[in-house]
Formats: sequence, C-alpha cells, structure tokens
Amino acid sequence: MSMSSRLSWFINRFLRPAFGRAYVRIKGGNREPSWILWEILLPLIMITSVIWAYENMGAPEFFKGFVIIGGAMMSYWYNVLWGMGRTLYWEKETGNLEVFLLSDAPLPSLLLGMALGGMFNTTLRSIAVIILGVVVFKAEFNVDYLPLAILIFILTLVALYGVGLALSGLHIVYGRMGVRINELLDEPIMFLSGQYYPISTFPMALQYIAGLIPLAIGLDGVRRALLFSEGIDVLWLHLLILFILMIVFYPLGLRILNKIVERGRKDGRLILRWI
Amino acid sequence: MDIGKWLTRFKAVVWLTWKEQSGWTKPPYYFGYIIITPFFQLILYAYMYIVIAFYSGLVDIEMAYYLVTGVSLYNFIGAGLYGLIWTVHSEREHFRTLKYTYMAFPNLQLYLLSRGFFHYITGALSTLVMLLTGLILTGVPLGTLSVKPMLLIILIILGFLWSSQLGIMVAGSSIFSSEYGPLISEAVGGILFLLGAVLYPIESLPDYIRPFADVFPMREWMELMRYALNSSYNVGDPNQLLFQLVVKTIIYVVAAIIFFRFTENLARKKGLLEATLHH
Repeated sequence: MSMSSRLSWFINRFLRPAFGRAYVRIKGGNREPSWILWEILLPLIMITSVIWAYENMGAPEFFKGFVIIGGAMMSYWYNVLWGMGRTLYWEKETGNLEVFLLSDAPLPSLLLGMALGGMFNTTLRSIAVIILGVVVFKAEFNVDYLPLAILIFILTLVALYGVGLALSGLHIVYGRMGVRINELLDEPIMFLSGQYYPISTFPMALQYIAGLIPLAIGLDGVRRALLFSEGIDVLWLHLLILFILMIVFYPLGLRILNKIVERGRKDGRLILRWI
Repeated sequence: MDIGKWLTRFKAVVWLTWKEQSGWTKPPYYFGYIIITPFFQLILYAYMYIVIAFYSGLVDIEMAYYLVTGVSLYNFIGAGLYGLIWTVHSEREHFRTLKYTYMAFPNLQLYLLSRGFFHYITGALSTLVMLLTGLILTGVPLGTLSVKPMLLIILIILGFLWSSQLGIMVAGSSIFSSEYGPLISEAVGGILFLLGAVLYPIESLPDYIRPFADVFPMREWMELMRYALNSSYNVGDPNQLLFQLVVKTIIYVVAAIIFFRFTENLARKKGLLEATLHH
C-alpha cells in the first residue's frame, strides 16, 4: 500500500468513523441540559462530604485543593471504565455491536471516538466542578503552573485510555462478568490513585504499585504543579513515567483488544447476549 | 393478604435475586466480589484519618471510630437502598423483565422490598468485614468495645425499615423516568452520605443545612448504631434518639405506602411498567 493510500485509509476509514462516534457521544451526552447539571452536582456532593470531613479533622487548607482535583480527575477514570468499557457491553445487548463489527470502521477507531467524545463531556463537567469547588470552598491553585499541569494531564489521559482499550475487550467477551470486573476496579483505583490524599504518604511498596497506574502519577503531578508550585525540574520524573506508561499501555491495550475480539469471533461470543 | 403465600413469594424473589446477582460466577468468587469493593471504599476513607494523623502527628481514636463506623454502616444502608431502587431501572430498561415479574408478583412494593432484602443481607456481610478491618487498621482497640446486642438487632431492623421505605419512594418516582432513575438513586445515596453523620457530626454542618439533615432518620440511626457497638460512645440521651428514630421510621413507612400506591396506579394507567426507552 502506497503512502498516500495509507493516509487516505487512515483519514477515511479510521478518523472519520472516530469523529462520527465522538459526535454521537457529545451530542447524546449534552442534549439534555439537566443531565449536565446532575453530573456536576453528584461529584460535588462527594467532594463536599470529603472536604467537610477534612475540616472536621482539622486538616491543612491545601487538602481542599487535593480533594477538588482528585474528584475532577477521577471522572476520567469513571469515563474509561463505564463510558468506554461498559458501553460496548450495552451496544452488544442492544444489537448495535453487530452493526459496528460488520461495518468498514475498525473497532479501535470507534473506541477512539468514544474516548474523544467522553473526554470532551467529562472535561466540560470537570471544569465546572473545579470552578464551583474554587468558588464555594475557596481552594487556591497556582495558575502559573497550569501549562505543565495540562501537559501532565494530557499524557495521563492518553495512557489511561490505553487501559480503556483493553477493558472494552473484556466487556465484549465476558458480558456481565466484565461489568463486575469494572466494579472491582472502581474503588481500588480510587484508593491507589490517592483520590483524596497524596500518594507520598503510602508505604513504599504501595507507591510502586501506584506508579503503574497513570491516574495516580498524573493526579500527583497535577496537584504538585497547581498546589505546591513545583516546576518541570521536579516533575520531570512524572512526565517520564507517564510517557513510558503511554507508549506501553496504548499498544498493549490494542493488542489485548484484538486478541480478545479474535477469541470472541472463534467462540461465537461477540454477539451472544444476556451472558 | 395471606402471610404464608407472601412469604413463599418473598423467598422465591430473594432466591431469584441471588441467582441474578451471582449467576456470572461461582459463590466463593461472588462473596469475594461483594467484600472487595466496600473494603476498598472503607480504606479510601479510613486512609484520610491516617493521612491527617501522619501530618499532625496526633492520634484521635474517637475520630477513627467515628469515621470507620460511619463508612461501614453507610455501606449497609447504601447497598440495600441502591439495590432496591436500581431494580426498576435494570428490570424495565436493561432486561425488560419488569412486566413479566409484575404479572407473577402483582404487588410491586412487596416485590421491590423482596429484591432489596437480598442487597441488605450482602450489605450486612460486607459491613461486618469493613467494621472489623477498619477498626483494626486505624488502631481502635477492639477489646474496649462493649456491644449492646439487643439494641443492635432492633436498630438493624429499623435501619432496614426506614431505608427500604425511602428506597420504595425513590423507586416509585423513578418509574416515571428512565433517564433520571439512576441519577435520583445516586443523588439520594449521596445526600445520605453528606447529611447522615457518616464522616462528621451534623453539628459541624453549616447552620442552613442542618434542617435538611433532620428530614432523614440517618443521623439518629448512625449515632445509635455507634452507641450500640460501643456503649461508651456519647450520644446524649439514647432513649430520646431511639424515640425520634422510631417516629421517623413510622412516618417513612406510612408515606412510602401512600406514595407508592399512588405512583404504581398512575404508572399502570400510563402503561409505564412495560415502557422502555432504550436507555
């Protein structure tokens, strides 16, 4: 295949379906304004509970910022788990997955679309959560370090969505068991990522495990930049780890997805419902 | 109504829920599954206490006891409530079986209660594990606890009663919306977490929020449960609290019966029990 036909394939067969799928997700996720309100208020309830708990314990002021950033960034993990992984399960249950698989669009392209659409929707809500958190709880962030925080954040997202690729494969083949696996990954990742506290307070062994989770490294990096004004001279290791996780997780996720789909085809489980 | 007939149905629905919930794996794995998630939920919050102790260098056993019991006991209420409310959404929208179960068990309120009961049992199991591990993890000496078994049993029954009736009312509302049903259930769970003396005492809430906390029986139940697990825990006058809890529970039961009867009739007239919106 020549270079120009490869590029044409990439644009027409990969990117276009991805943007098409992202459009559906963005349109669907924002068509009802009251949903957006709910999706902002629900995380805020949890954030408020934790901030009041910290206040009651006499925690230092910067913990408010910790909790707000943790709550906002954790939404991306939920999006990977439920918006990306579980969606394929429901597409299978409703009969759409057959259409996806029969179409010309490769599955990773559709997943990319889901990821992009989900990122857009989650970003809208996370920004609102942060703004409300700052206004209501008077949390303070150093915006001079925002560019570095954004760089860390983008690397985190790419690595995280690589994990999402692998998870979506599990959902296609394992059905309800995949949903349970999702549920099992929910709270442990929240804990290991340090949703409400710095992972530097973990015992060393736990810190090494957390180092394998993109969200834990990303969350720590963003907090250090915005709350403790740490620059690239301190956070270069975070960037390096995230870069390594990104180049490992993305191809690995793709490989796992392809393997699982292939196995599903052989076993005839790709369109098997109610399992 | 014939009690014996109802109990037979109740048993069948609890068994059905067990099969539906655990059918994807073997029982030992299922028990592992129902314990892992709440366990990590507990250490997520218990670790907040550990971090503050780490920063301040101070150990506050009373604070640890408050936090661990709050998160663990909330799990009992939350698991049951969420399981009960979610039934309407999952059976009508996901599996489209609500109309069939309604024909087999034509009393939706009792059906939901039976479905929810299973979740209260699994919630109680995981709560027990959470309590024990949480208290050990935060260094609360288990030997100093003095449990009041009779009060504990009464409170578990009352907790099941008021929270399941709250769940019935929320489930009644969720019949009318496929989109908002799950959101409403999450919001109610979140509000109970926020206002229910789970992580902090109600007294530490801003003044304008406290009246909202008094709407729910959660605070009385939580405080009395803490007292029942450790009689040296100060709740002021436990009899007064118990009286308030009983009164609120009665109000919830009556309100749920009236409200659900109204919503069920309206839903039948509008054909909403079999309507799906592919949500």
